[in-house]
Amino acid sequence: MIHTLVGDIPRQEFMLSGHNGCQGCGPALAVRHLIKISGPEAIIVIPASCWSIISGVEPFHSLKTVVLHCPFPSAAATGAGIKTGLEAVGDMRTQVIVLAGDGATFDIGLQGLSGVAERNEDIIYVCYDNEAYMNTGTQRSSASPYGSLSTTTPAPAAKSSPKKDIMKIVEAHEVPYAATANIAYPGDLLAKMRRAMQVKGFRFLHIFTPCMQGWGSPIEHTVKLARLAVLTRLFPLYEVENGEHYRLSYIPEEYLPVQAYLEGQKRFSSLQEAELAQMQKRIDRAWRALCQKAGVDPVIPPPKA
Amino acid sequence: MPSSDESGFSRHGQLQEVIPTTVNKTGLWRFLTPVFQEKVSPCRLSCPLENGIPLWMNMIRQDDWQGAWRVMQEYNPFPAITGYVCYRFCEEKCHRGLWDEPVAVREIEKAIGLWRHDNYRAGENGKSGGRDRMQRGKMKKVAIVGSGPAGLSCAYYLRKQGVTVTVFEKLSLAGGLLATGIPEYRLPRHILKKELEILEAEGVTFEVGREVGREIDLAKLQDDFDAVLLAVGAQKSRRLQIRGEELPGVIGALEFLRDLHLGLPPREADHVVVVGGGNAAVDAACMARLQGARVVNLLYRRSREEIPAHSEEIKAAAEAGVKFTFQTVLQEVCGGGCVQKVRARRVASSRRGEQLQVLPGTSYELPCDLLIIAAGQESGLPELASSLQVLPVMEEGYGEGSAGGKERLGDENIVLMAGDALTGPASVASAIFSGRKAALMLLRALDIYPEPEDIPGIVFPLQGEEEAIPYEHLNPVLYPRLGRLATALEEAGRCFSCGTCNSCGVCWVFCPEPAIGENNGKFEILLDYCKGCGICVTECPAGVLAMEEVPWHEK
Repeated sequence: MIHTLVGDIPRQEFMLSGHNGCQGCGPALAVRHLIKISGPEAIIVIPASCWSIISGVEPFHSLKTVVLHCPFPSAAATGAGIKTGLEAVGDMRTQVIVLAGDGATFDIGLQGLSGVAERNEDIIYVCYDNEAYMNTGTQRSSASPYGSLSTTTPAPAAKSSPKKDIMKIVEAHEVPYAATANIAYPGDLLAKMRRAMQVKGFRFLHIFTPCMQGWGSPIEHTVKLARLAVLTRLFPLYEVENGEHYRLSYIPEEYLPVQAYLEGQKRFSSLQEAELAQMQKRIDRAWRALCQKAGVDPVIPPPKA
Repeated sequence: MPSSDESGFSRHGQLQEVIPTTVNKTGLWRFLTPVFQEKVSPCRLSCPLENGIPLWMNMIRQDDWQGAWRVMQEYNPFPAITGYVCYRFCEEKCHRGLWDEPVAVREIEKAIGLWRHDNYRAGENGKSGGRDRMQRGKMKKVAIVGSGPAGLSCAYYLRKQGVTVTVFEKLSLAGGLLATGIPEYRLPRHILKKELEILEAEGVTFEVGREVGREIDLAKLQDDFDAVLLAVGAQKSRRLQIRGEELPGVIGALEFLRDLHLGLPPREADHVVVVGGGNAAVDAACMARLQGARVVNLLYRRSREEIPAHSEEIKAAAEAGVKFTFQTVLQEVCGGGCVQKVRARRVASSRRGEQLQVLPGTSYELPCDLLIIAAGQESGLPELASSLQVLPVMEEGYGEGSAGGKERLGDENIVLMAGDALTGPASVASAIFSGRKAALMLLRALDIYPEPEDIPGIVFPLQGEEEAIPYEHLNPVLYPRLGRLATALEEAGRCFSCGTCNSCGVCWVFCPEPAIGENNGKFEILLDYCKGCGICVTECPAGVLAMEEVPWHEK
């Protein structure tokens, strides 16, 4: 029964123990599962991000595959270049996976991302989103949520703008495949990676990977918080094909207010009552809009006044 | 260059200088260490048999019925019987009940029992490993007086060690309460019959229609056998001590049920009154109704909330048309020659153990041509006991190192008690448990030391101080909310396996290192690499993992 969420996960590991990830690292967990699907043959491109450390500093290496480190804004372009190069020498099979954090996707690498998406380059772009520049010490990114604290948005000047909706940006390019995934739902994550491996053209995975060091939560709550983000519908799980066919991967059974997710996160400690209501409203609105696109009944009753 | 993992690198990985990160022993980062700590599940704690329910649930989940039976019989040799008659103490306490609906433990138990009935092959004890075991017990003979659940369970465990077992039953029908007390609609008789057949096929001798104390002298039994177990049950109905009680047409509930099951001609009665609120009272009332009585009134002296009969029975009786009257006591039985009516009166509401207060002026009459009294049962032992000089009463505690066995029972004239005769009227499950305890004590007294079965997770016994794992320690989120499922296989998958590792692999799935390895189907922490984040502890659905401070030098 438990397998419905955990899924049928391959036993073989392509990520080695002893890597440099922090205790309870969400991105490490996400990549551990992703790489089980892509296997040792794929070429991975990593711009400056947490994973450029986790994968190991020369000569150490934690991934059993080829990793190419590249400058911050050029991840998408590098990936596309490698793919083109492989094709030029006749290798049509090898997958190229760009593994970028939210900084390199939402901010610094956005033009590159838009470029390869528009040209429909045949690569998989994975964005593991821990909602700030965690590797350099928790500076806000445009993926940081509304009301969160960081070293560049310290209390009481919490971030005043909402999180950028990167999925909408990617969807607007009408790419063949785009999906959100979450480390708390590994079965779903793997299924989406499998799907991405089969599709030809530009594929985008947006993976929610909490960072307990940056979020100010107990390290053992990584997966719990990731799950709550889905259960509170803050981070819905869905996939889009060609920018028009929406499918919800998971519909929460009951209405869970966003407080359940915010509790225990120090980065939200300055959040006021009114801001919280604002946040809840935004979540409900986004959920309804998404359900409408996917053609399902929002099921979950809107909050009582 | 360390090369332990280099072989796994891809064909692109031609760089000779690559060092796998496995050379970094990140275990040194750790402050707290996750450890596997199994705890007692609430079902096991509430079960009179201390049945290791999560263990066999796990076997069923993997579709391993032979394994499930092997685990089951360590606790309960008659799952088919309890699968029908048990009151489901486990399901009342099931943590899954707090999430959606309790796991159908009794139904799965029944399924295991029926599987055993279908797959039993005679002489299973004589097979390979069992043969040595059988040799050891071969020279010993034990007499069991009473063929109820306690006697049968003791016979099963003794026979498994090769002891020669003879069961004496005074009635013409073996099974004790199972045959003559429990109505057939609760326990189909072919189930009991099959169970007795299996015991006989395993070599247990039944001497039916021979009453110890009357036809056979207890002292003679003591001479002829190495040990005697008295499991005579509590089958004597207590009397009310009121006027008119000696009239014909007044009968004890157990006698009433026994006569029915022995096939004696049923008593013609239109108006039946049953006094008492135990399971025997409710069973008798139901049976009276099924025998064709037009009106069956059940009088109980306290309120509905206080009634000791199990709610399942009460529901069944109400459906059968038994009329319940609460806070009422019997005053006298009237009639000339035989019972014609009874006089009852109301009492104030009271709790168990409190004195009853009769309400004046509430006396009324009820027509009655059969009065069934179920005011409690007494052990049939005192009559037998007169011929014994010393009557050893069984103590709690029967596991390794606890008192019992030879030290307590001595070498000769070993006499032991078990079942309702010892504990007073209880349940079938507790009688089976009592029989198992008696068997283990007898084996030790007879110098037979059973080798522990090679079954991981079997733990005997509970010490009485254990607390069930709290619901808060579990992580039920991983289970979708749903009701009961159709097959045992699917339903067993709903079990949270509280406090018992069932190798679900959730710890392995959520480890970001990865620092959890698999060894022979069991998961273990790789301490060289575990950074001690504790995600596995938070996520473990069964609450088995815990964080512990481990001294530096032991890391």
